[in-house]
Amino acid sequence: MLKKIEQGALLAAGLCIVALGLMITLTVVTRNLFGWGVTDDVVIVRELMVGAVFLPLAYVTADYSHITIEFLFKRLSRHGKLWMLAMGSLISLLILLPLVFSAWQGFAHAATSGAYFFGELELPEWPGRFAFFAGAALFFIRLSIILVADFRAAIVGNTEYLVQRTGTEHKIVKED
Amino acid sequence: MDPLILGLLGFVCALLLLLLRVPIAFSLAGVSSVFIFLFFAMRHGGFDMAAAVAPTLSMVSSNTFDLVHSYDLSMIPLFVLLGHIAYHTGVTTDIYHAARVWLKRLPGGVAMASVFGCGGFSAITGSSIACASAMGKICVPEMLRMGYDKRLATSTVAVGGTLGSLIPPSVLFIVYGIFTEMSVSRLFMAGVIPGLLSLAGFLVVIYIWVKRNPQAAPVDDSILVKGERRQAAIRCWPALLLFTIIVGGIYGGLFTATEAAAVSAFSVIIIGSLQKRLNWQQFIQSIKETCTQTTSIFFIAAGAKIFVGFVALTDMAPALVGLVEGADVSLWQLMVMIAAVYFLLGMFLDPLGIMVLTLPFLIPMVDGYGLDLIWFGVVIIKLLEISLITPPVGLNVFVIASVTKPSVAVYDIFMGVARFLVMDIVVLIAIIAFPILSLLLPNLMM
Repeated sequence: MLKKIEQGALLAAGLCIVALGLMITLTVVTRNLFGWGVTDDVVIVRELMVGAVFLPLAYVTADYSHITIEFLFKRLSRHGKLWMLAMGSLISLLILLPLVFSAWQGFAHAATSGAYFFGELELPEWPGRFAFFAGAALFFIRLSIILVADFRAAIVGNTEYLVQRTGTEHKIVKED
Repeated sequence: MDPLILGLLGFVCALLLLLLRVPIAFSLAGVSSVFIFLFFAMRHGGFDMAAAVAPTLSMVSSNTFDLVHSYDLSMIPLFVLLGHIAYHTGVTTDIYHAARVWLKRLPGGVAMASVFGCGGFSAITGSSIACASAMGKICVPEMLRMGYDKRLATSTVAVGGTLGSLIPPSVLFIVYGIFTEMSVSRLFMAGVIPGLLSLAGFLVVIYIWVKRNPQAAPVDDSILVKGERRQAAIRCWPALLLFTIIVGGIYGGLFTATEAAAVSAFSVIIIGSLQKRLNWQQFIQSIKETCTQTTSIFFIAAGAKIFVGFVALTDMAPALVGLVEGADVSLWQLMVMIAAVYFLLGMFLDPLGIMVLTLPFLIPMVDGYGLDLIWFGVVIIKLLEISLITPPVGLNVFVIASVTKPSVAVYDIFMGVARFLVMDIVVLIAIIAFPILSLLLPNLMM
């Protein structure tokens, strides 16, 4: 069930990226050809960005695609590695609490106050705030599940889990 | 507690978590959140938890949401999308194939073509690691089959991949732009000449290497088919068009960097579809990869933004600036110190990690010296490029070692890379000594 929701959120994020790209391209084309742009394009792109970035958070976490540094981890024993993964998940989860809470506060405020962006369309603020909260909440649920699995594996010393968890994570050491 | 001590403790904790494999984003965001909370709780002496909750939540929320809620930064997913589509349609490897045909008769021609190909690949995709992984499977086996020295064959691809950080579009420049509030368009332009200079430097190294040891790169004496050169050149027009849209569009004042990202991403989708090199599955895969990568990058940037807020609260940066100014350090001494820190951190952190961890301290210091932040950005990116190929981590080297078949020892790749490193340092010194190399194009921009 959660997997399906995460994939749905990923799809929505993909649509946001395509939509914001189209919006900007359309503005460039119409500005250069006809001298006008899309109404409130800046606000729309900013709102789409929230969906594009926050909605896939849970999927990225489930895929272990967050960028990590392996320098010391590689030097630990298998047992040490399992405990390190569990501790990392615990810390990550604790960190998320203020984020999820503040995302909820932002959404609740935007929804109840009827806040909107200045512009011709007077677009409401709540959709972006909702995407932020939904992404953070899904992320929190996924990380909680990972945390339980990590601790269970660390307690029983399940090294197969380590292979499964870090095997997929080797691709994560990327980025420049 | 003294805010400065709190700041130092926070910095050490963040570093420790990073080294213990807690994701970069979580390490920075988590440590900052906890220490911001402690700062507000202990602000008036004692420990007032209730007074700390609201400002901490506000800082965490605003730094995260406001960073993402940005029109300008939509260039990140769009450039990432461009890179993935270009990769799946094969546009990124066309440059190599063209250079391979054109440089065929030159001693070390395939190695030179690899540098060109990797430079083009990593510039379009914005990822050195993806370049090393993809081109390592194409160029290295070909060079080894032709009898090239394994050190030359592997090191050219490892160093070629680093060029993408300087040649636009570059994610590192965008992240640098976020933290320094500098124009990304100007940063992109600033990277062009130093990027081309680095490329030229690598070609010189190959030339000298092969001149001194011709056995290292046997000349390909196979016969060229009539029209092969022309066809190869024509085939790489999409890559050249994308480069022209991005660099020409920004330089000519036609687009902002964000608009260039959108137009180039849609251009490559249209070109790929018309040429039947992009199918639905590849498109969906590209979108999926774009979402994943974008989220990872932004979450790190958000963590770093909160970290910057924390550093600002603790007055750590002004203390460090005061320390450096008090020591009466000259510009060159400062640069040597920064380079030393980057080389040291580059031994165990990845480029993005180094950047987000050090910029909150470096920028006030560099600002205090009255240095140009655009030029400094180029220096920083060049240092980060170098960190991708320096031992013991040297990510590009390990990627090459893992994808190359038949396998080549990491030691041999590092030995090959050593010659290019000398050139990298020469180019770095030139960039520092002659800021005009970085500032010429941004200053000429319309």
